Amino acid sequence: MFVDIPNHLTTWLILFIFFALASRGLGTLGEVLRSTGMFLLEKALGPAIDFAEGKPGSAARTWIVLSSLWLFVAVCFTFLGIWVGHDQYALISLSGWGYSPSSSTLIAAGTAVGLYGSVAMAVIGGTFHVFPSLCGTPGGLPSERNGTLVAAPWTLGVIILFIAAHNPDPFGIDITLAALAAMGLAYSAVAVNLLIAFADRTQSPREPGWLLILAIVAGPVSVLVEVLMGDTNPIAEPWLVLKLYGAPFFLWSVSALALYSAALGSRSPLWSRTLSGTVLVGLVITTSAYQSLDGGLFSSLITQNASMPSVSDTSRMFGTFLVALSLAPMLALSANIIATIRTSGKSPEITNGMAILVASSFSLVILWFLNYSFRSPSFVGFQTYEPLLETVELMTMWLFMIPMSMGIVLHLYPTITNRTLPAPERTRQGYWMFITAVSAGLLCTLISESILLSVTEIDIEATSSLAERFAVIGSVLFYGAVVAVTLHTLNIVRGLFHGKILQNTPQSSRRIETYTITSSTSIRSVLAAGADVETVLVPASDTDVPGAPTEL
Amino acid sequence: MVFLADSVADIDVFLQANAEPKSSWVFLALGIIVALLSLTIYSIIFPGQNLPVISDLETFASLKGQVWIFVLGMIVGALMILSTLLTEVTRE
Repeated sequence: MFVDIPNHLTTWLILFIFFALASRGLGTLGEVLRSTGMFLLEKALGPAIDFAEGKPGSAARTWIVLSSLWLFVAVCFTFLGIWVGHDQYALISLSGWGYSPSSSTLIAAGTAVGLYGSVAMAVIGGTFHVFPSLCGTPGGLPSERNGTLVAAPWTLGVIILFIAAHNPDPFGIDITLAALAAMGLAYSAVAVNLLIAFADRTQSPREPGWLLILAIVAGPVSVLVEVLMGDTNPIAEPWLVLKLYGAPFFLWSVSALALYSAALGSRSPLWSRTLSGTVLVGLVITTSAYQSLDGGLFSSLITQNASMPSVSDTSRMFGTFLVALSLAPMLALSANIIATIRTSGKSPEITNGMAILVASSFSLVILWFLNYSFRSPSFVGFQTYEPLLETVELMTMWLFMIPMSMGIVLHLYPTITNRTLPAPERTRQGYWMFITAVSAGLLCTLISESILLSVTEIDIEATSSLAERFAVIGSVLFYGAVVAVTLHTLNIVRGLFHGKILQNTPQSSRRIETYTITSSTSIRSVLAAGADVETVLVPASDTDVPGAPTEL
Repeated sequence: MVFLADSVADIDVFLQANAEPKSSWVFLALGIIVALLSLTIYSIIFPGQNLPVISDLETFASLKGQVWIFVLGMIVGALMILSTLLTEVTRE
């Protein structure tokens, strides 16, 4: 029996208890966690731990570089999936090698790799760097070597998941479980590493830090609640993994890292603390419902061969209410990121990821409405827009999750690797190509599918040439994303070897000569931007008097 | 703020133009205007007829079945990434 409302309430209660206890410090639990955790992370692994590098930042670097490589694989397979959607015999010549994937198989493979390979690895890599900084943990991440090492089982899990998207049981057994086991092992190590960093903290981690740690513990808590409160066997029920790597892990941690990157990257404090609080509380309360209905983006991947348990009408109503309510934290997140970057007094920089963060924040609100309007009939049992949901989910991933993680990676890259990206121009070209190609390409695909749906509804047997044309144009435009991601990945890889080495002089490098004030600004904002007593404040109105001759 | 009556001196100061738009933007604007004018005039003179040459060009739809062109691009991209990794890692 699947009882959802009590599960929701219990999950919230446990998270609240964790928050209340942890905000006072973990106390004795922290001591136990520290000694046991460090033993498990390093000593218990024996000689295996010596394979990994233990230099500061090596764990974060490994994860974000691997995430960029997975992104390339993801975009290629997603493009092929979109193409085969309108030209089903395009890859027929590969059938001689025993490979004849359908469109949905290719898209599922691309999405699995994109989500669990690219976004998840970028999130974990970013968290390894950001979370200890937010907590003021002395020495940074407690075990860099373990953090680096566990990228291997996670990568193995993603590879198996990629194979499982094509054929879930090649040897007569469901290999999805093997992927989940490998990723679960890595996830446990990541969680323990971050919890030790949290236990060793010297300051409050602020809202983004709280959101990050809640994102890490919410998955295991949800699984625990599900197992304890229902007749659920965690081994036999693959959908349970949605609880582990579902909305909390992806959405909360991407939101937290985006808030952090927006503030640090624009050298401007977060615009509103109230909005940060709204994001923290709102996401925790509302988006846990994303996994209790149909899961959306997260359910169609791992659980493609497993059926989600049906929920009662009351639970469905409660969940629908929460999903509608989730607009509030989405608006708060979007507004806070955009306003933070815009109040820095200059245009968002493309090369440090600020522009792509702004673009994906804009698209977040649009995508929310798109998701809600297309998905709401299915909440109450109608299948009206079911054929369009795959494209809507693709848009959610390629216009929000992936650009957000790309922005986070671009911002954190110089700090983590201590090198700059070698080709700013390539980043700029990649940004414009990616945004244009993905938005225009997927919009054309959505239009094509909408036409087909309308034609089907009015029982016209003839195929629509207009729909086909839109589908072809959509897939050709989406190819721009392949080129953009190639540029992005090349930039990331080359930066490891050819990027300019940064000097560790943060104070002097932050000093700025002039600061342009566009509107009322607090002294804190000005100081946070790197200004000091010598900095000249320039009101925007003084820089250009309309009609006046240019001063020489 | 006090608004004073316009004076001849103000006219000299405010009504002179010191900057010009970029030449590329001027050409782009002129190009768009000329294209629109040509289309309008053509549709008046030859109503309902296809445009010469432009209407005969194949659009994206002709790419149907040509996925291998794009796959080739992907392979080149993958090789670029792979070769960068291999050569840089093994560089002395």
